[in-house]
Amino acid sequence: MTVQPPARQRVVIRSAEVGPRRAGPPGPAFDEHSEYRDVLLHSLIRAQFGLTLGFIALTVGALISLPLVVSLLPWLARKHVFGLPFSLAVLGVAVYPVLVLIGLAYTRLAERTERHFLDLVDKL
Amino acid sequence: MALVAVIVVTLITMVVGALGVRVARTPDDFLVAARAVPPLRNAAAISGEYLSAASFLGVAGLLLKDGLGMLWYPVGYAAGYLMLLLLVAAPLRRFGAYTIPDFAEGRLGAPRLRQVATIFVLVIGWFYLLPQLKGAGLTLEVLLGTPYWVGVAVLAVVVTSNIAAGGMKGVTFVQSVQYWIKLMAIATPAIVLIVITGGLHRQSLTTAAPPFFATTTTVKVQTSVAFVIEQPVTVQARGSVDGAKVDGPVTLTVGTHRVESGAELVFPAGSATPHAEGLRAQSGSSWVSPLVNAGHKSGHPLAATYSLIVATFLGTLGLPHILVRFYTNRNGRAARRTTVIVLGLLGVFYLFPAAFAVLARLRDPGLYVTGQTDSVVLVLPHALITNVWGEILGALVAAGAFAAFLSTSSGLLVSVAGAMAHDLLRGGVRTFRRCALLAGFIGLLAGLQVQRFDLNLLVGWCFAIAASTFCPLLVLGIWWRSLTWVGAIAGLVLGGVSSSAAIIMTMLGVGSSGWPSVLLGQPAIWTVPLAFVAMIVGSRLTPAQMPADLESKLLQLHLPEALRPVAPVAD
Repeated sequence: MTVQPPARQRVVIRSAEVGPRRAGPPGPAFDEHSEYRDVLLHSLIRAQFGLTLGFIALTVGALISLPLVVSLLPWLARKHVFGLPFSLAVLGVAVYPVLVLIGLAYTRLAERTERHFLDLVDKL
Repeated sequence: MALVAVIVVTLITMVVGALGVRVARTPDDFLVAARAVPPLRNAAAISGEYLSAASFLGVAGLLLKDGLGMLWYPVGYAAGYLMLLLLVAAPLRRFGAYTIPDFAEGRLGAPRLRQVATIFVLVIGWFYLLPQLKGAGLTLEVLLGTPYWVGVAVLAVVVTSNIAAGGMKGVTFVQSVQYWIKLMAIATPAIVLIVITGGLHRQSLTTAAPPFFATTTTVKVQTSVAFVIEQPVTVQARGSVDGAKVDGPVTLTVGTHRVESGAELVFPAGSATPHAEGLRAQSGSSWVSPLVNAGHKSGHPLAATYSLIVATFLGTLGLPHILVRFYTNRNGRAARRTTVIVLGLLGVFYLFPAAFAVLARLRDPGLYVTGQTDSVVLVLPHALITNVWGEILGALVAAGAFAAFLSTSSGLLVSVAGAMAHDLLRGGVRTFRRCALLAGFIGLLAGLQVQRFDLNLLVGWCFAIAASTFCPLLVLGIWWRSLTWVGAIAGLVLGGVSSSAAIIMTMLGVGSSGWPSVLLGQPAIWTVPLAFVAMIVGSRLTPAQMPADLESKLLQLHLPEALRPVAPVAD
C-alpha cells in the first residue's frame, strides 16, 4: 500500500535516507548526549504532533464536510448508491474502510518518524 | 429459548470470571498478561468491552426512531478510536499510566488533581452504567414480559456480585470472546433477514410518506402507552383502550389514545402507523437524511450533527474503562497497531445494526406504536420469521445483547470501584470489594430512573462529559508542555460541570425545542472548547506550577521503545 504522506518530516535534519531498524540492545547514546537530548526530543514531539494534526485535518475534512454538503444539496440524500440510500451507503458502509485506511497510513508514518529519529540519534 | 440463551451467556461469563479470580488483580498482573496477549486478541477484548447495550440494541433503535442521520452515533463511536490513535494511544502506553487519575498525577504531579480526575471517572462510569442497566431491563421486558426493574436488578446483582467476588477483572480472554459472540449475534440475523426479505433497497424508503403497515399487523402493548392517530382507523382490539375494556373492532379517531399494558391491537393492511407520544412521524425523505434531528422542525440539524460529532469523536479517548485496556499492550507500537485493529473490528460490527432499522421501518413498523424502538433488534427476528428459525435467531440476539450488558458493565464497575478504592480511599482488595458493592447499588438505584431515555442518548451524554473533561486533559497533557495542574483542574471542573449541568437540565425537561434543546441536549460543541480554553488559560496564569521534571515526563511519553530501558518506565 502506498499512501502519500501529507506530513512534514522535520526530524530529518541531515539525512533523508531511511536506515534499517536498529538491531541489538539500545545503546546509552541518548543519555550521553544529554545536551542534545531536549532539542532532539522536542523535534520528535513536533514531528509527531504535525503528523497527528495532518491526519486530524484529513479525517475532519473527509467526514465533517459531509453534513455541510448534504444540507446545501438536500437532493443528495434521496439518491441511491449501489442500491442503498445515500446516507446508508456513505455513513453505514463506506466510512469504515476509510477510517481503517487512515489509521493504517498514520501508523506507518508515525513509525517512520520514529525510525528517522533513531537514525538521527545513532549518528550523534 | 431466548431465556435459556441469556442464562447460558451469563453462566459462562460468571464461571470463566470465577476461574480467573487469581489471574489478574494488580497492574503488574496486566503486564504479565500483556506479554502473552497478541494484538488481535487484545483488540477484540477492547472492542468486546466497548460494544455496549448502546451499540448492540441502541443504534438500530435510534435509527428506526429518528432516521439515518443517527448513523453518526456508530460512525463517531468508531472514529473515536481513530482520534485515540492519532492523539493518545502510543504516548499513553509509553507513559505507563494505568488509569486516568494515574496519568494526571504522574504527568502534572499534584495529588489534588488526582482526586478531581477520580470524581469525573466516577461520574462518567456511573453514567455509562445507566444505559447498560436500561438495556437489561428492556431486554427481559421484551423477552419474558417482566417489569422493567427486574432486568435492571438482575444485571446489577450478577455483575456486582461477580466483581465483588473477584472475577472478571482483566480477563482479556473473556472480553475478546464477547466480541465474537456479539458480532455473530448481530450479523447472523441481519444477514438472514436481508436475504429472506429480498434486500434493503426500496424506493419507498426514500420517497414515501410516513410509515404504514404493509400487511395486517398485530401490535402487542407491553408497557402502557399513549399514541397519536392522524387518520381514523378501525382496529381489532383486545384489552384496555382509552380506559374501556374492549374485545372487538374499535375505531380510533384523530387524536391521542391511551392503551394499557397487555392489550393487543390488530391494524389493517395499508393503514398509517400511529406514533407513540414523543416520537415524530417522519416522511421517507426526512428519515433518510444524514443529519441528526432531521425530522425536527426546530432541531437545527447541522449544529446538532456537529455537536454529536465532537462528543463521540473526542469522548472515546476519555472513557475511563478503555484506558485500562491499553495497558495490556506490550508497548507504544503495539498500542497503535491494536487501535487500528479495533477500528476494523468496530467497523465490521457497525455494518449490521442499520439493517434492522431499515427492515423494521419497511416491514414491521409496530414499534412506532409502542415507542419501544430500542427493542427492534430483539423483536424483529420473531416478527419477520414466524417459524422455529425466528425463535433461534431471537435467542441468538438475546444472548448477544446480554453479552453486551455484561462485558461493558463489568468493565465500568471495575473502573468505578477501582477509582473509589484505589484513588479515593487508598485501600486494598477488601476495600475494592466493598466499593464494588456500593457502586453497583448506586448504579441499580439510578438505573431504575432512566427507562424513558433512549440508550444512545444516555451513552451520547456520557461521551459528551468525557470529551469535555478527560479529552483535553490527555491531549494537552501529552502534546503541550506548558500544562499545569491548576489549569488541568480548571478545565476538568469547568468542562465537567457545564456538560453535566446541561445534560441534567435536559433530563429534567428544560429546553425541549429550538437552540436550548440543541445546546443543552448535545452540549459538546461548546463545553469541549470551554474545557480546552480553561486548561490553557489556567496554565498560562500559573507557569510556576509546571512540574520540575517536565523533560523526563515528556521523554517518558514520547521516546520510542528502542531507546528505552527494557522494562517500561514506571512511576
